[in-house]
Amino acid sequence: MQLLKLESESSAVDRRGGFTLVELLVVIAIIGVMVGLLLPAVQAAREAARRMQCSNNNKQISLAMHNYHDAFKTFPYGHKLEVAGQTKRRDCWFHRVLPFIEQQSYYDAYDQVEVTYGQFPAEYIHRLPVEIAGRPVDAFMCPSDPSGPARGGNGSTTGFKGNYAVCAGGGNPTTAIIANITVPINYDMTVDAGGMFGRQLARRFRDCVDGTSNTLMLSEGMLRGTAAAWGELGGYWGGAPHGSFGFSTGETPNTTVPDRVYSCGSTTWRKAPCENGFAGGLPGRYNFARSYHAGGVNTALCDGSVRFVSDSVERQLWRNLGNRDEGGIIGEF
Amino acid sequence: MQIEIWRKWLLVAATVFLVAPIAGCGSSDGLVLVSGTVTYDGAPIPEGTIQFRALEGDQKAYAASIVDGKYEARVEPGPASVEVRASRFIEGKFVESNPGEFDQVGEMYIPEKYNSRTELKVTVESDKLDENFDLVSK
Repeated sequence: MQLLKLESESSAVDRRGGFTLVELLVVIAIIGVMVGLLLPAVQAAREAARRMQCSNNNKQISLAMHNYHDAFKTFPYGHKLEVAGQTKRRDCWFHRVLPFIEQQSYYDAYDQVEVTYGQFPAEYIHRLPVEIAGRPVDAFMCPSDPSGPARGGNGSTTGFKGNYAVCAGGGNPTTAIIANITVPINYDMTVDAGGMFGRQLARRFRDCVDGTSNTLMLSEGMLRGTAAAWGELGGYWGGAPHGSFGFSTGETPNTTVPDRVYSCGSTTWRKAPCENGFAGGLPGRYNFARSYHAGGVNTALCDGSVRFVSDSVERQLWRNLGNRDEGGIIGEF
Repeated sequence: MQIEIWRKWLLVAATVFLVAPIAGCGSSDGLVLVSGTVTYDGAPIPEGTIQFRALEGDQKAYAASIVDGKYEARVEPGPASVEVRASRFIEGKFVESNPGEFDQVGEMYIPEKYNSRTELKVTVESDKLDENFDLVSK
C-alpha cells in the first residue's frame, strides 16, 4: 500500500513538468504591472488620510460653533466692527470659538493680555506679542497644506495663519448672474453678501432660512506660504476686515479666478492666484475655497455635517449653498 | 495539451493587464486651451488678468494672468464674455489703511468696457484657439 502511493506521487510530478521561460517572464511582467498600479494607490492612501484629518477639523470647528451658539444663543460674528480706541481691534470668529475647541487657557491668555508692543498699545490684535498671536492651533491647520504652520496675513509675520474660514455668501444670484458676482467682504462692507457670517453679524439658527443642511458654514483655503500681506484667507490676527475671515461662493472651489484681498502674500502661487486689491485699485475683497486635496474642498454645513464638495459642482448650486435665505433648490452635490 | 491552454490564458491576461492602464489615460475636464496677446493702446500689457466667463450653462469663469502681453488660459468651449484687468501705482499717493503702514495707492487703468461692463465677446471653439485682444483707451 505504502509503496503504491509513493509510486503514483512520483509519476504525477514527472507528468506536471515545468513552466517555460516565456511563461515565467509573462507572469513576472503581470506582477510588475500590478505592483505598478498598486504603488501610486498606496501614496494616494496617505493623501486620503490627510483629507480625512482635514474633514475632522471641519467637524470639530463646526461643533465648536454649535456649542458657541448653545452658550450665547447666536453664532460668532465673522469679524468685529472696528471702532477707534477699542481693545482687541480686528478680533474675529477664530478667537470667539477658541474656548469651545478646548483652547480655554489660550483664550484666557489672549483675553487678559494688556501689554504694549513696541511703541504701540495693544489696540490691534496683530500688535500682540508673538507668544500670543504666533501660536499655531492644530485644529485650524489642514495637514495637506505644505505651508502650515504659516504666519502672516496681518502686516507682519507674527500672527498665525490657518486654513479655515467661514462662509460670507455668494451674492445675489438673481440680480448678478453673469458679471460682478463676487461680493465685497471688504473694509467698508455695508452690503450683506448672503451668507451666515459677516462684519459684526451675529446670526442665529433662525436666520438660516434655507435650512441648516442647505447652508455652508465653513470651508478651507490655500495658504500662500508665510508672508506679511493683509487679508489672505485664514489671517486671523489682523487681516479679518481685509478679507481673511471668510470665503465667497461666487466662484466654484479651486477656481482659476484670482482671490482679491487687500494685499497678496504671492501673486504667482501655483493653483491659488491672487490680485492685490489695494495696490491694484480693485474694488471688492474675497477669497475662494481652495485646497490641496485632489478634486475638491472639505466643507461643513450649518447643521454640523461635513461634506467634500467637488471642483465641478454646479456654480449656481454652490452659490445657493453659500447663501442662507435665497430660496434656491439645492440638488445633489 | 494542458500547457497549451495555460499559455493562451497567460497571453490573454498579459494583454489585458498591459493594455488596460493605457486605455484609461487622457484628460477629460472638457476645457480647451486659448492663448494670445493683449495690448492696450498698441503696447502689450506688462502684468494683468484676463477672465473668460461662459455665457451659456453654468456661467463659470476661467482666468489667467497676462505677462508681457501674453496669456494662456484653459476655458470651457462656447460663447464667453472677456474681462481684462491691469493696474499701476498712482505717483506719490499713499494711504494709511493699517496702523503705521503707508501703502501706495494703485489704480486699475483698463476702461470699464473691457471689464466690469465688458463688451468683449469671444466664441471658444473646441480646439486650440488663438485669440488676440487689442484694447484702446478711447
